[in-house]
Amino acid sequence: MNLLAIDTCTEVCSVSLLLDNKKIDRFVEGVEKSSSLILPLCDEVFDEANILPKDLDGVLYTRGPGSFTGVRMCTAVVQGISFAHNIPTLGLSTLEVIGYGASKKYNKDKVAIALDARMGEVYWAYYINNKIHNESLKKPNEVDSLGAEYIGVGTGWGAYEELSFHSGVNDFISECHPQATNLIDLALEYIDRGVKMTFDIAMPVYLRNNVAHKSLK
Amino acid sequence: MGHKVSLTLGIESSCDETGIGIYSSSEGLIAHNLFSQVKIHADYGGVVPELASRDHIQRVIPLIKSSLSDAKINLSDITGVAHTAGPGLAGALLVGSAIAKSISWSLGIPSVEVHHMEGHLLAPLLEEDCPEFPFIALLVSGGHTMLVDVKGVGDYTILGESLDDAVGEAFDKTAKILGLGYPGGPALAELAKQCKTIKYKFPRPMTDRPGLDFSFSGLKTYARNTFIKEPQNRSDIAKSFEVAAIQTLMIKCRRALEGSEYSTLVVSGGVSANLYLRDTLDEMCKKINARAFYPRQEFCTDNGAMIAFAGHYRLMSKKINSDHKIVIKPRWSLEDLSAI
Ligand SMILES: Nc1ncnc2c1ncn2[C@@H]1O[C@H](COP(=O)(O)OP(=O)(O)O)[C@@H](O)[C@H]1O
Repeated sequence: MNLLAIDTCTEVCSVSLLLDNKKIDRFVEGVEKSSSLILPLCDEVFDEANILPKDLDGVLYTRGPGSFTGVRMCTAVVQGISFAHNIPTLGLSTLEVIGYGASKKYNKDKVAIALDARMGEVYWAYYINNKIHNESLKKPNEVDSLGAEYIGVGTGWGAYEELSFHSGVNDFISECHPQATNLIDLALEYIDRGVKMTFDIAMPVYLRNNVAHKSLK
Repeated sequence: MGHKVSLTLGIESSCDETGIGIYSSSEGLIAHNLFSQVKIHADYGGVVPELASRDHIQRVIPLIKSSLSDAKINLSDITGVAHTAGPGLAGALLVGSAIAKSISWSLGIPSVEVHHMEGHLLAPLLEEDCPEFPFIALLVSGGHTMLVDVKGVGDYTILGESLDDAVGEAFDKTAKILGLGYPGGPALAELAKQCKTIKYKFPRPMTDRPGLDFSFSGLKTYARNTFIKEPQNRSDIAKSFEVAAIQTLMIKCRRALEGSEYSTLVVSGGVSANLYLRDTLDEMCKKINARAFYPRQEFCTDNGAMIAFAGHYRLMSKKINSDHKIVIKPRWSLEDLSAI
């Protein structure tokens, strides 16, 4: 099965291409414009694998949350690739991909994920035994009270000191990002459990939906 | 070996319209579809950029699908993809550009960045009875008011621009003052029809001095002050405003034509839908032995057909960059384009 995974939702950009017997990854940090990076990275991994986009069996993507523009970049690119050769897709939460990656990397089964959502808020979720919970947009003082057995990951922890106090999580790593390579592994678990990829158009999930105020005229 | 037909897919998403067009080198425009977000933004009194982007991403693929089926072709028949790269709202441009680029990358076909105003400028060439180069172009939309010397595709010199509000913007703002909702340009034109004799003499900004620049914000203020004094005379104010704005455009068009050796005027952009504008410019052109050309009504405002068409020209010229970076140019001058 040939699977391509793409993430551009936050300040990193990554792609991962799974072939029958190997995986080819690219991961770039400190990205200002994933727009000029994402397709060249795809091109690189396809060249290395010596396959073409039409040879894909599926496209995986982080559907958000993240920066609005980054989230849309990711879904838009996936829409195009999927549409071009009628390839099914599967979108997973950015928070879950971070949680999954951290749980593997740090060998922890309890992970609290907080992404800096600006405007005094975080995109929040926690991950226990391979399951994501309570994905939401929260003020730091509204997050779940979890306790010290959790490890905190994501840019939210660096941005809001008070998160630690309100969640009861003492150890955190803010330099922890979504990675397409984790997205592939996580999606494979979903697919094993019987989750199907879809031909519906890939769509973003922003979590923050209150983005405009009606004028009083 | 038969001559190969090229089929260009055009994607427009620079502001509050998602537009798709398909242009065939042998048959011309073979399909176009549009979704206007006007209703989405109406409650906010103007375009909300984030809402615009959120809507575009839901519309582009379905509109491409219906355009392909209207044209009775498959995506694999498409030979090139054109997308509006600017000017416009960054987030909105990005949606159409990312989809365009990922399609062209996946299919291994060329893509080309199209300047939105070049799209407008070339739109009248989609008609059967169409202008020939060179000509003077008047571009009048919600975001731009411009007189351009057009020697050929991509060979543009801006002769004059608005120093403040675009003329469409002035229509919209004046309409708002008169309580007409958003975007009020067409509604203001409707209201003006009720007025038979012109009651107020509004100024004709910047016509008493040389040059081809425009200024429309003073007209809007004049309308506001008049409305405060005589709120019962809405249709008179609408008419007086419309006449003043359009006479001003006409005076500058005439000046531009007379200052050139051309006898062709091309008028495009949202405000070119205005019938009084068409009558006024036709009449002026007749007097000086010139002729004015306009797009059909539905291609006055933003659309994908004009992007497919402009993209087709550029793809034919082969001067296209083939890297896969998704490029947007929210600020992009017409004069930075290269001639083909
Ligand atoms: N009949 C009309 N009379 C005057 N203005 C009009 C008319 N029809 C459309 N407009 C104006 O055209 C503008 C929209 O044109 P468009 O080319 O889509 O511009 P933009 O992309 O810059 O918003 C709006 O300002 C609208 O009010």
